[in-house]
Formats: sequence, structure tokens, C-alpha cells
Amino acid sequence: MCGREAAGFFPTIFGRRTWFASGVCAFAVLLLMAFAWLFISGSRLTSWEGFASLSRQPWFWRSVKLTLYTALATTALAAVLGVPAAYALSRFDFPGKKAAEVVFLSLLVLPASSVGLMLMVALQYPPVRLLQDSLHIRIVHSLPGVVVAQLVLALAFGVVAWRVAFDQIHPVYEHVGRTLGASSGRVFFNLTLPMAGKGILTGAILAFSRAMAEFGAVLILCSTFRFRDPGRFSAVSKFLGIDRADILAVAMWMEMEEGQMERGMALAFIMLGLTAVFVYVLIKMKKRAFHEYTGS
Amino acid sequence: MNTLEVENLGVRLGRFSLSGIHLSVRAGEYLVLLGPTGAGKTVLLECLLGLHGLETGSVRVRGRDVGRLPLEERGMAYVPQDYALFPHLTVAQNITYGLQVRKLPKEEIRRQTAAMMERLDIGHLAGRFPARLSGGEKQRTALGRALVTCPEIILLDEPLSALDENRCYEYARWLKQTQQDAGSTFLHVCHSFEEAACVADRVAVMNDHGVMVQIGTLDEIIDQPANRFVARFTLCRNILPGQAEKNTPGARILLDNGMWLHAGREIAGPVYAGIRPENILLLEKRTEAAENCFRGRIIQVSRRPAGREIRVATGCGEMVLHTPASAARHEIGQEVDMHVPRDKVIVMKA
Amino acid sequence: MSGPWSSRVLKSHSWHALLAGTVACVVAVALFITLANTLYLGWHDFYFYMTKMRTWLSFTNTLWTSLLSAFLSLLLAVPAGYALSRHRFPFADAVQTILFLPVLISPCAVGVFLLACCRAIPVQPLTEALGLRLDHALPGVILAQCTVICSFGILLSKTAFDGVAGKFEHVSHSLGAGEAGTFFRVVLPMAKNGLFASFVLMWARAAAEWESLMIFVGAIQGRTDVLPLAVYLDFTSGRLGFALSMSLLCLLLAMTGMVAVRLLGGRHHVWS
Repeated sequence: MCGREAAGFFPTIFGRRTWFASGVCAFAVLLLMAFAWLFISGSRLTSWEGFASLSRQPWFWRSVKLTLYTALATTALAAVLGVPAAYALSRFDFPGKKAAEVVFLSLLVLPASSVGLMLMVALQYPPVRLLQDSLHIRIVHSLPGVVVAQLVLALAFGVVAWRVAFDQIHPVYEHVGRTLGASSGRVFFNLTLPMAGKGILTGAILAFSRAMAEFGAVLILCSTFRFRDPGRFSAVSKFLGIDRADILAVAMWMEMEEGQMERGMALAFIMLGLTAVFVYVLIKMKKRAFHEYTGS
Repeated sequence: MNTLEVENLGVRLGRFSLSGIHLSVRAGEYLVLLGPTGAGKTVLLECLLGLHGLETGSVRVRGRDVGRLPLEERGMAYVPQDYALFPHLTVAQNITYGLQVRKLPKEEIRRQTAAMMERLDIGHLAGRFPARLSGGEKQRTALGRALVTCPEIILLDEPLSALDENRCYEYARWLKQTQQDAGSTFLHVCHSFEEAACVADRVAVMNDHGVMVQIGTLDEIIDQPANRFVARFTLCRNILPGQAEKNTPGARILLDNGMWLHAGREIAGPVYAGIRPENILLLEKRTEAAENCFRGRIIQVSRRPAGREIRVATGCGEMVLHTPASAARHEIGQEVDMHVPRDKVIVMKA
Repeated sequence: MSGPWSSRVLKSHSWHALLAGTVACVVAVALFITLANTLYLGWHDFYFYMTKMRTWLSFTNTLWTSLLSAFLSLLLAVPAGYALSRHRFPFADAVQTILFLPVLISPCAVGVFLLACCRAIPVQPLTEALGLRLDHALPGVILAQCTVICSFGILLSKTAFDGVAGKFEHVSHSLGAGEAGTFFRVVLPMAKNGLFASFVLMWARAAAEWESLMIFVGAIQGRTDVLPLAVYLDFTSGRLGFALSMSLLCLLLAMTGMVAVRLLGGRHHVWS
């Protein structure tokens, strides 16, 4: 009864079809249906007209661009900071490493409202404000603030993934590379980084999608831009066409607050679609990572 | 001047520690570091490479103290256990890596790589990735990658353990041949005496506790093992405790069962007497006058490629002996008399 | 011949310093932000707000709702994670994509979808029959927390079960144990640490949930007081002292949870 060939539509664990396997799979199917229904039932609140009206909004395409640009900038910043940090955490022992790990982990589970508020207070704190003044930049309530607010979670997600990517590469490759005469920096760029390529990309996708999804910290730190005086935007943001617009998540919240359910729901579906693509790519990449160097 | 000189090396890694390691490798020598699994051989190699901070002692390469030099400055090449070929580079690129790092001219790099691949007979694999190589091909590539940079010494960590038993000795001979042809210095770590015997000029033996117990040529460690551990490791299967007294020329040893065993070496005090299975002779009939005679009953006979292995219960415990294939068949339960020539008795201080 | 401090040595040291420097930089910024907030608030004010009943009400509300959500989600997620880890589903990639979506999607969008879902069958008839109120009430908070962390929990427990090699189950079956016996006596104990760590992570994530609550449940003072929501409410209504002291409380909660995760040593990475 329990042939391996039975694996298919019927619940099996290692090819055995039993009540236990069925029961366990029922949980997965139940949750699958619940999530699917959660997303499908949203269609009741919107229609094609919602999407059409959304695309007619003057701010919509600017919002899309803003989301894309800020998320890209955040990912780049997170990579510059996070990849070396993840490498250090993966390879070296230094005093306070445990504490540093706890700090990086905590970023994952801080409420966005606290993150936004604490960033706000810290950025308005006299020494930091003086520094901003002397450099003629403003972070709070301005577009760079969006990147700062997104950076916290993007960095946290990225570092976790990048660290795993480096952990999976045995340091012996670096040791061999160095006995052949390469310095530790060269070994990192020549050997470790290419070998960890897939993992680095995974972390970058995670950081990007997390940056795109960030809402709370951005709302508190930067408030909204849509109704702001055009004169308060820099020439750069006007040139890029991202002025007087909010990132998609904030825009969605504003539409809901204003009672524009149809447009808000349409935005939610857009974000759902984008995230689904990312999740799908991540799952595919994880699967392929096993066959990467095994020579199949 | 020795190529590698290790003096009083000590290291502590959590609960594991090595101490008082002395080792010297001469230029052009093939030294095998032999020890059971868990003895700390790999840790010792890693110490030589500078991956662990030393607690005591020094490491010299050609008289130069490399203790504070980074890995890339030590003049050592490393072939780790599973070769660690760079998976994203082809065979040719793996071999080229060390040359590129040295910023040699392009033409020179190509010439040397081609010559090395020719020499190791892997030219046809140049464009392949390591995942698609067999164990032997991987080993050749890893050795080529190390050799091409002309290091002072090459450290090999269990280079044959990833190969299947049949090809193992073939590759051991190949390793030895390559080392001789290249005139380079090898420090090879392994846990099998037979493997060591295939390749070694000299052998250093480590015991389970990370203590270097004996260093010497194969003749020395086989004929005069420093202690019971080395004797057992070099396949001396019968080791009997006893009390020795001088009996010029040589000594006689009082075994636990009251029997006297005569040995060729002059020694006194508590000792272990070691007898190799192939040095025990089965007697056709008992001659009362002969010294070093044992009587016992056969309890097991098993077939070996070179003959038979026979286990015999005697008054001083079980003994193992090997007989040639041409010898008469023996049955389990049969009473036999055995004799050991006095110059074949190995005596070690207890 | 180069001395012990050749330029190469210096270079390799500076490389290590650069790497460790990035870690130090992030940690220093995090410390500075915490410190600046503490200094801004001042010890006396912090103490004052800590003695207020309202702060502790939010705190206890957060604690019990998040613990309950984490527990409920774990009950659902562990079998589902085991099934995903061992059973090959048809259209596996699509199934996993849907199950793992709420981990990465903006929680804000989750709130929007929950809002729509609760006006549809079967949720609306069900809540009406049970007399349960979801909007502006704590059951809604729990539902929103569960939605977000359940999928997180499936991902985490799948990773924990992936870490237990299948051969142990084969051996257990060969010794005559059934599916359930094997699961409870072999697999579950082996994945124990990973599952504990998952629980703590889920709990911390639930305690930090805010965005979906803001849209789905609505922020009304005195009815849905959980810390993250209260921080936002107090911030918008200008009571910065309350908001800040509760933020610091959140930070403390998060740190405690993560120290526990670190001690349990479970695999907190899930994607790679």
C-alpha cells in the first residue's frame, strides 16, 4: 500500500501513506486555503476600475519610481554595510561578538513604530542635527529619510542571509588560496564572494523586498509627501520624477484612510504580486543552490 | 638547514591541546605524520599554517621564523583533506590561481600551467570544473595547484582518504614519484601505517593524546619502536609485558606466566616484548632444547592474501601469527608449538 | 626576508579591521540611537512613565496577546512545517509561495487583506455566530498577529525539520515505530531547539506587529492597547514621553527575546 510511487496527490511521508501523514498535510492544506482565501477575498473590495483609477492618479507612477529607487538605494547601502559585517560575523571571533549578534537579530523584531520614533529622536539630537546642518542635508521628513527608515529592517534581513551564505563556504578554501600567495582581501574577492554569489543575491532580494514593504518607520520618520509644497523638494528628486509622491505602502495606507478602498486594495494587490515574484524566485534559488556545485 | 623546524610547539583549543611538539623536515624529504584519528594531526598542520595562535614554541621555514607571518608569506602550500578545489574555477584556472596572484607575466603563467598539467597528465581536463572530476583527478589537480607555486614545503592532509582502497596505493606511489621528480618537500598526514609505508622517507608518530612519540625512518620505527603504542601502530600484534634482566649478549625477559623469553637487545627493568605475527614460526615437532618456545591451541584461522592468519591461545594470552599460503593447513582446536628467533623479539621500555 | 611587521601583515590587519569595523559601526549606531533616546527622555521621565498604569496595561496586553498568538500559530505551523519538509506537494513551489508570502509582504497589505477578508464568508458569519468582535478589539489584534507570524512559523519550523536527516525516521520505522511514534519520539525531540527558537522569534515578531493592526483593527485608545500601537497613538497625539518610554520597553522586549534565541542556538536563518 505504501509504495514510493504513491507520492503524488495523496499525502505521504517518505512515500508512506498513513493517517498521520494525512493529518499533518491537512494542516498545511488548511493554512494554504486560509492564506489563499485571505488574498482572494480582497478582490471583493476592488475591481479593474480600481486599478484604472489608480494608474490615472498623478502621483501613482512617481510613487512606483520612488519605491523602486529608494528600495534600490537601501539595498545598495545594506549590502555595503551588511556584506562585510556578515563576513566578519561568520569568520572571526572578536570581543562583543555575541552582543553584536543580538543587536543584529533584535533589528528583526523591533516594532516599526518604535524604530521610526527612535530614529526621529536620534536624528534630531543636537550633535546629529548640527552635523546635518553643516552638511546641508535633512533626513527627517525628507526623501533620504525614507532610505534611512527602510535600511533598519533591510539590513537585518540581509545580514542574516549573507551570514548564512558565508557560513556555507568552508574557510579551508580561503586558507588554500592564501597558501597560494593571495592576501586575505584578495581571497575574499576572488574566491569567497564568487562562491557565495547565490547567497549574496538571495540576501539582496530579501533586503530589497523588505525595503519595499517597509511602511511604519517611513510614515513616522518622514510622514507623507504627496501634499507637500513642491518647493520643498530638491532638484535631484524633481529630475528623477519622484517628488510629491509616497512609497507604495504609505500610499496604500493613505488611500485606506481617505476611504478610497478600491484604490487602496488595488495597491495591496500590486504589492502582493511583487512580493509573490520575490518569494517564488527565492524558493527557486534555494532549490537550485543544492545542485549548484554538486555536478549534476 | 632543515626546510621545516618545529620546536616545542604548544597550542590549546578549548579542551583539546597539543604540547611539546618537536619536528624537523629536511629538504627534499617525504615525511609522514602518522597517528590515530583524533590525535590532533590536522590541528598540528593548521598550527603550522598559522590558523591557531601558538601558546609556546616556534615554527621555522628554512631558518626563518614564520610564527608571526600571515599564511601567504610562509612558503607553505596546503592540500586539505577533500582537496578544496575552488568549485567556481576550472582545473586550469585552479592551477593558474597561485601564479596570477604572484602577478607573473601572462605568457609565463600560460607556459607554467601548461607544463604542470602536462607533467601531472591532466591536460585533457583543463576546462572541466572540479565537481565533474574523479577522486584521483581531483588529487592531481590539487597537487598541481600546490606544486606550481614552488613552495618550500607542501602539507598534505590525508590526501588518500577520499580515494577508494583499490586506487589508494596506486596514487600513493604516484605521490611519491611526483615528490621525487619535483624534488620538493612533503609533509603528509595520515592514519594508516600501510599508507605511510608506501611513501615515507621518515615517519613521525603521534599518539591519541597529541604527543609526538617517535620520529625516524621506517626501519627505525619498525625495528625499534619507542613504546607499545608505536609497536601496535606498526602492526606488531603480540605485545607481552615482562621483567627483563641482562643476559649478555642480549637479555632475558620473565613473562607473566613464568616463562623466559630471550631477546637480542641488552636491557633491564620492566619492559614490553613485541613479536610480529610474521616472525612467529610454527614448529613441526617440539624440541625441548629450543628457547622462546610457546605451546597453544588454535582458536581461529582466517585467510589473508599472503597466507593465513592464525590466532592461538597460549599461557601468556592470545597470540597472532601469519603463515605463508604454502604452509600446511591447520585446524581449529589443534595443539601447536611456536618459536620466535631471539633477534626478532622487539623490546621496549615499559 | 620580511620582518614580523611587513607591509603585507599590516595590510591583512587593516582588512580585518575594516570587516570588524562595519560590525562595530552598525552596533555603535544602534547604541547611539538608544542612548540618544534615553538621554532625550531622561531618567526621571522614564521612571515617571514607567509608574503609569497605562504603560503597564499596554505591556501586559502585548505580552498576553503575543504569547497567545505565538502559541496558536505554533500549533498550526509545526505540523504544516513538517508536512512541507517531508511531503512533496503537487505544485510545491506555488504552494510554498503562497504559504510564505505573509513573511515578506508589507504587514500593511496584510492588514488591508484582513479587512476585506473579515467581511467575507466564512469569517463574518463565524464571528457573528460566536459574538466575536474583530475591529477595535483584542481578538482582532490576535488574528492579525497570527496571520503574520503563522507563515513565519511554517518557514522556521520547516527549516528546523529540514535539519533533521531523514535517516533517523527510516531507522525508527525499521525498528517498528509508527508515523506518529516516530514524529513524537524521534523527530520532535531532535528539532526541539530549533522549534523553541522559532517560538521565541514568532513571539517577538507578534509583539512587534503594528502596521497590520493599524489598518485592520484600528487604533483606539483603551481598547486595543498594545505597545507598538500605543507608541504610534501617543506619538501622533504629542505625548512623546509615553511614546518614547514604551519604545524603550519594546526594545527591551526584543533584546530579551533575541538573547533567548541566541542561547537556544536555533537556526534563525530561513531562506538560504
